[in-house]
Amino acid sequence: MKDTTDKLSTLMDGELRDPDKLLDKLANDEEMQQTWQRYHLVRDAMKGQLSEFPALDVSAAVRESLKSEPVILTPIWKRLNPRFVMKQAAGLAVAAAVGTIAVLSVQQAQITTPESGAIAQVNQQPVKSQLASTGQIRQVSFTTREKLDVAVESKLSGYLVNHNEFSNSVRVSGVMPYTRIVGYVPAAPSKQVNNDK
Amino acid sequence: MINKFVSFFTLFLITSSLQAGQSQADIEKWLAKMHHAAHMINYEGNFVYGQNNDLTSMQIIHSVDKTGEYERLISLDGSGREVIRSGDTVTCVLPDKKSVVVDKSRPDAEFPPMFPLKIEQLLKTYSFHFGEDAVVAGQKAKKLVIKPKDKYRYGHALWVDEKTGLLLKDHLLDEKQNIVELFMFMQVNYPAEIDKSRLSSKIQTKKFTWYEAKDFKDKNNVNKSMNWRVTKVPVGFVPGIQRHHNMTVSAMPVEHFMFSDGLSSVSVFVEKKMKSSKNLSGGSTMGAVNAYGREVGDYHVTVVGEVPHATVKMIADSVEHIKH
Repeated sequence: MKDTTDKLSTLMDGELRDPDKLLDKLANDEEMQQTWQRYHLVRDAMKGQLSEFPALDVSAAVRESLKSEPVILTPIWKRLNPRFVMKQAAGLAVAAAVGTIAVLSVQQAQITTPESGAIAQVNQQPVKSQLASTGQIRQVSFTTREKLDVAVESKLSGYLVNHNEFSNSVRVSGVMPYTRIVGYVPAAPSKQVNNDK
Repeated sequence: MINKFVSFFTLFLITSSLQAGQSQADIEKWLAKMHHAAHMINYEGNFVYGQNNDLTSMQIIHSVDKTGEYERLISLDGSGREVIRSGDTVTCVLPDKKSVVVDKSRPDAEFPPMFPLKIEQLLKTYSFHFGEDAVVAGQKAKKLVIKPKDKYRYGHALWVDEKTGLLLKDHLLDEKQNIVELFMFMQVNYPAEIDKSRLSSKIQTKKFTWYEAKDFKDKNNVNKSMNWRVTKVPVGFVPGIQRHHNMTVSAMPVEHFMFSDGLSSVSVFVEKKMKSSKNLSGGSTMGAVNAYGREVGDYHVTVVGEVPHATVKMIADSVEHIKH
């Protein structure tokens, strides 16, 4: 069997010297056909990957010089991966229903993380200055979950789900993104059902 | 059997395209094996998932055949939530919210999913080594340690089933080696066949509210010239997609940019401020996921990703309006 699969891959590369025998076998063997099909799928997938990292075209020397510095990006924005492109707006409905997961969890994190004080301090400054300049943005409270604006929660959840939809397929483990949705068990469910959609 | 051949073949393709040293090839082999197993083999089991010092337990049933991947993820902690993936459909059943969400946008092209990692790219920002072998969920596991070379991404400790390549345990680690998110199988099986009936939800959903996402496939919204640009990202992050799209949470179209360093990804969303809309200002965190929002003139920028606070802040602060 291993011999046959070796031959299959050689055949796929167009390098098998006497392909007729193998082709006959392929025509009559369902398992082999499946293997053949998957080889192609895998190869296509591998090829699809190549367009994914346009920055690899940058010469090694340039990359080396950027080693420890944050990169200043010139807008490349040229190459898109069609596999991702199709996933338009996928998580939106999820977001509508899931509603408040993300930000409520955030609140808990801010309370339980030892470093929360430091993070909050860093963040308070810009919030205040924006308040002063526009008067429109409400200050996000990091201390109690009740004070968080429902609209902010729902918007952030929407962004998060959308991000997950698009990053799911690049993750090594397929499990995590949805685990985040399933895994959140609200501490006080009655208070958090606020779907007004 | 077939899966194994595909796996070998995938490895062949990857390693043959590289003139890599032995250990580099080894690491790549394990990463590829892991990715393959996550999507291309049958498995079922119970696992715990944790963040913010809290653990929840879940069950997963994953099956694959020539028509695609099927998966059912079930919360075992009382909420009854389930996520069912079946070919191109993702259904979230949320009994605690009396809702069912159906999403049909997953393109067929993703099966089998592509292997996303390039070892040369990863080696710029991460170092890899093998840890001590262990036993997880009764299976012999290979430990792979991935350390970031700067503070802009998380590290990983991965325990991978030696036989099947399935990720059995995963620690996401911050700078101080604190675990920000974890995942671990307590028990796992690899059945040759999984009955289809086990892959659908048993919850009575007739009285629930159903949400169905429209299958947007409007390519005009992609590659449209963007009005914004991201001028600074940590080294190693490269642009992925960029698109305009409409979201239910916003009346105005949102510009969405994605970046990835091969292991972690970040999304940047820019939308026009509406009087009625409220946005995140400053930072927030949920386990491994961080978000940072700020205003730029009449617009609001929100950055979300499974990266540390410093990364989302750096990226958010660098977003600029393009003056056409």
